Amino acid sequence: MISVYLLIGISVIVMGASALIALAWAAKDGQFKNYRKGANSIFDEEEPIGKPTGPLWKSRAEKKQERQQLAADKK
Amino acid sequence: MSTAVDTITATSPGVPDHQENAAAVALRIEIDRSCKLPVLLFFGASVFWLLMGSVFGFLASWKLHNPGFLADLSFLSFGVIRTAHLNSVAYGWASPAAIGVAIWLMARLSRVPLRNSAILIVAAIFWNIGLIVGIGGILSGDSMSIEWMEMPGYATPLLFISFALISIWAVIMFRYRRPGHVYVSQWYILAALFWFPWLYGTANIIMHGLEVSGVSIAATNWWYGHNVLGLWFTPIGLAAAYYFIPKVIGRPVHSYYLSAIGFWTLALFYSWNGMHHLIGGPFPAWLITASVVASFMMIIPVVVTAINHHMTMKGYFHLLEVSPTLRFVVFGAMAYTVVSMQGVSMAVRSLNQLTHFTHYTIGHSHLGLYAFFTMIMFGSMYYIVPRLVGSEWKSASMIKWHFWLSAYGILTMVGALTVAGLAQGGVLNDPEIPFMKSVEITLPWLFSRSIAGIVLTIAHVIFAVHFTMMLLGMGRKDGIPTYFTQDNTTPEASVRP
Repeated sequence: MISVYLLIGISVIVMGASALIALAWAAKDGQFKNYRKGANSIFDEEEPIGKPTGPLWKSRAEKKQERQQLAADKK
Repeated sequence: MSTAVDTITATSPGVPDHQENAAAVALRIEIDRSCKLPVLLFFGASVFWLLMGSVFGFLASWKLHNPGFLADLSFLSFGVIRTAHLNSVAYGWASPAAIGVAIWLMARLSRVPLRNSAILIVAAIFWNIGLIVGIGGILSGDSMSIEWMEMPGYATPLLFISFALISIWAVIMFRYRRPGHVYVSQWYILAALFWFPWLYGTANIIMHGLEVSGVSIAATNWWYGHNVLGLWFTPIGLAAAYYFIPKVIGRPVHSYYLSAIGFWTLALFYSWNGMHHLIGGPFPAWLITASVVASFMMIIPVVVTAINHHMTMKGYFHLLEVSPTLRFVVFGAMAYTVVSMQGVSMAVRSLNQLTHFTHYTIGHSHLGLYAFFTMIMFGSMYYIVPRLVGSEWKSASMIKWHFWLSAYGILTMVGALTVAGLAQGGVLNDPEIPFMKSVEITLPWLFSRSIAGIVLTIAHVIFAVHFTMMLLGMGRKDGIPTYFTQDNTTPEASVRP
């Protein structure tokens, strides 16, 4: 019983301590300095901000526009 | 070209230099190629176990309102099959899917091709052998009867070794990352890969090594059981949401400051939460009280994350129509807010009195592991798999069916279980009413849960067929090339034919 509390106790303390160490490292490393840069870091020259990378099919509006275009072309 | 996409590209900082472009594309292709085998190995295994878990889940659910169903087979009795369901979806589907997504995100965010992929392949093999041995053990009657830790002692070391290997790999990747910012998703992934082996190792040593009994089992059980959700699945789910939502819509996360607060508060508060499962139990009162307080503290990371994701999406919701990844991930992110706030409310003692030991809790866990986590994993796979196999998903309608069946199925299931739980709790708390009434009152709701389960299983079969088609090279290669090819600089290329 005591060993269980000891194990859980040590776990909680070591987990907390490791989180604090990581926090201290992050602060020292400058991870909290430039938030805008941080948020932008997943974009690059090839997939810049403003370019959606997800669309897989056309929206209803696009399809409608296309149909109208096609009809206009036929005329 | 839709007006919607026009508005987005109008905010673009301009067409970049072509040479830099080519280098960025080449690096991305190289990273994706290096991830291919290990990630697809984990994804493939996860899809297989998802189907197994669905079948187990259906059998367990059907038996609840139809106890005579397949009652003569001992390995299909409720206690066995329900346990097999939990273990195959938690350790067979959710964990390998999480690992696959984590591997790909780590490589992308470290901006280097995958290193030491042999470690991951060995880990995948160990993990699946561990699952076969563990779930086989459960089916043959060796279950430990401790929720979330039912796998017999001869299976758990295999899973632990596998996970330790993955964690070592993550440290190596992090060590060799390209200099620059450590994105919030990476924080979540590293933390999860650090926490989970620890949790798993400690809990299993206590259970199998120290031979504990009584209250200590309950304490260890819920310290582990709740932390698996909060410190393993939640961080990976949020890591994916923090990457895919901004990436898909092409807009940085609303407030990076809030994302940092969200991560660090989750790290500080979550590990205390588990004991709220033992409210009313014979347990040191201060531990439960501390846990109730910590559960309330969780409002901070949850609200912060909800605000952040909503504000990022604001003005871009129309893209839900055209992007499968975004649909699934946003559904999951919304469910995260709902499930977390529900979880906080369930730590209130007076509400807990009503919902404890009822189907309400089962509804809550499905809302968490399915509506939040699983949906985000589906969304992530819709983004990652085409980039690994080099072709696009074959059928838009299959994806749409998958989404609507999943969404409808899970909402029905959670709704039915919630109502069943509340009714059951009310009856259980009234000493005037015979116990049998608390069982009878849930029957119609349990039946609708089974129907919802069938709907979810159909969704999973559709996804599994689509996924297998991708693996067999039956994806779509025609039309305008998708984002993993060289010529992708024009805004038009971001809209699919």
